[in-house]
Amino acid sequence: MQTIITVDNIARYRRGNTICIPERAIVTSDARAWARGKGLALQVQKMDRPSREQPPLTLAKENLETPEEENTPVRVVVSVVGRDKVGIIAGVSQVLAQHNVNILDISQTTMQDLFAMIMLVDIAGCSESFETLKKKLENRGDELGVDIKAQREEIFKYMHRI
Amino acid sequence: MTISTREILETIRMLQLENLDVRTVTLGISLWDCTAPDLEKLCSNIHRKITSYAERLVPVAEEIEAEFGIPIINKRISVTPVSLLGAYTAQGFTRIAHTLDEAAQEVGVNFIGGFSALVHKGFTRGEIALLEAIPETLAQTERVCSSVNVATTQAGINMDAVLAMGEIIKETARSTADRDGIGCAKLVVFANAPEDNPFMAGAYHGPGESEAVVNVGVSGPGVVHGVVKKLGPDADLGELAEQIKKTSFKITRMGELVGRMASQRLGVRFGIVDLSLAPTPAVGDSIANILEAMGLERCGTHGTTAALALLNDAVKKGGAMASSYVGGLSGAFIPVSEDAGMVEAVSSGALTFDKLEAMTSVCSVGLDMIAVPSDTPSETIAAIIADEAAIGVINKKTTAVRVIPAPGKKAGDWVEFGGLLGRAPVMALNNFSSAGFVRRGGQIPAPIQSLGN
Repeated sequence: MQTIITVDNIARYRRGNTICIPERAIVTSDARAWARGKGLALQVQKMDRPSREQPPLTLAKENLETPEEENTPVRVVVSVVGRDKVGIIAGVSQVLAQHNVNILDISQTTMQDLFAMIMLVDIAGCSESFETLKKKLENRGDELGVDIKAQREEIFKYMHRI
Repeated sequence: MTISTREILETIRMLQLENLDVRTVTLGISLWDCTAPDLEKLCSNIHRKITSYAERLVPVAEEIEAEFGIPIINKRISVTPVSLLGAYTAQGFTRIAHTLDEAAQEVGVNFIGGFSALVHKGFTRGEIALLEAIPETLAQTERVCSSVNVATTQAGINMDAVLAMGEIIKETARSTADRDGIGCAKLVVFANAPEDNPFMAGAYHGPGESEAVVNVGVSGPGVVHGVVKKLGPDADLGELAEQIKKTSFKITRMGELVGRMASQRLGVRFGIVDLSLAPTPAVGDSIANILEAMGLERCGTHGTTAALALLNDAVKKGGAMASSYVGGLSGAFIPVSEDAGMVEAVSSGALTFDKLEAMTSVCSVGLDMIAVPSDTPSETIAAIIADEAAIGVINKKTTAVRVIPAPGKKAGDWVEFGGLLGRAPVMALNNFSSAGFVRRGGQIPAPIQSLGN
């Protein structure tokens, strides 16, 4: 029978940062998800079966953490909704500039007699964490009397595009 | 910009003004490998497994909430039906439930489902003990939810189990009499229970499921209500269905995104999106209000079943297009106490118990969160379950009963559960007895699958 690799035994096939799976082995989607979650790559290798001599690899806790960079959002939609007044764009851009956030696109319109501004920004070079930036934008919104939200771009893409 | 301003504003409006949210991210965990010869060992295995698998559930859900700006209302856990873990005594099962309760509290989830038994074709010794343990367990624990499957289309209806559940529901109400019988809000009786349902109180991790899985339940009655209202009174029903379908697509895509993100970050397989429209007591987040926006003066009047059928079908069509893996209950929920519009309809006399039963034949999930008088005989409750199970079994769909014989209350009084469970008027039932029928017991045979009329 072909080898079946599940979450229970996948750790035995781990060699460093890759999972070496025997040819023709069946890897369940649970096991694949586990590997993905740990940031491990799957690699097909010619080997008969997990060698008995090799003791099951113990899972070193620090190696199991997902690499940070992978999940850091890059493109973020900043939306500003509220009563129109002087200095909204300046106020928001100032916070963004302070933290090295690049504005990719900007547009404004009105929504039910409210002013609405949408900015698409790139936060790859942001000097702060996404959460801190979000908080700072919200605080600036309070000062300006408008509602400022920062959300990852995917939510809009996913909802409106197939 | 690849996405238009209009689309961005539409999403923001849904999230901010129309209560769009992900109702639940539920982590299903198998407990098969926790079995042990003695109870203490079993409990410590269960505790260890749940706390290690679900350790990051709440932080991950909160991360996703913050990054995408989508509220995720509940983070929950479902486990393998506890009755399958061995034949323990009733006290033994209650002890296991305490373990579940503690583990749930430790990882910060508000409900854990799976204190369950699948008895649609008969009982094992362990299942009988678990059923016995339900009233005490729901009184003593805070987060544990229980469900019992008493019928399937393949097996028919186990009327002995139905009769037993009538009495268990009464006892559960008595055991939590000091809190308006809230124990009954954590107990669901099913026909054709789905194995991957993320919604409480009926969630459990079915025997056919894998080690661990992330299931997502979306919501969004407010959004659908907004769309129907915007179309105005002149749009014909085809247009209505079309718009609801499109909206459901968008809602489901959001659920799918959250599910996939959670799955990736937890290192656990993504299971299904449950397409249910789940109402909350919040104003504007009501299924009844959608039906009323379609043109019914009050939910419950003639035409309600047809309107609900249209709504339910359109939601499914849009949702099925949006996600490859759809499961769970997937339909509009009509829980009375959790839906301000339903409560309004009942108290104005427009919506009766019998109409609710008719409505359950075209939507998920059944007679849900309905307060009934405290002096209702257990046989009457059993008969209510039997009726509902018959609708499910014949129509090859999931149905369920979650009624609360409100302690010390009579028809017209009010019960208050608070929070998402809401408040409801006690509904009048038929006062003629069903005892002679349900007391016969036995198994109602599985229905014929051809001659389909």
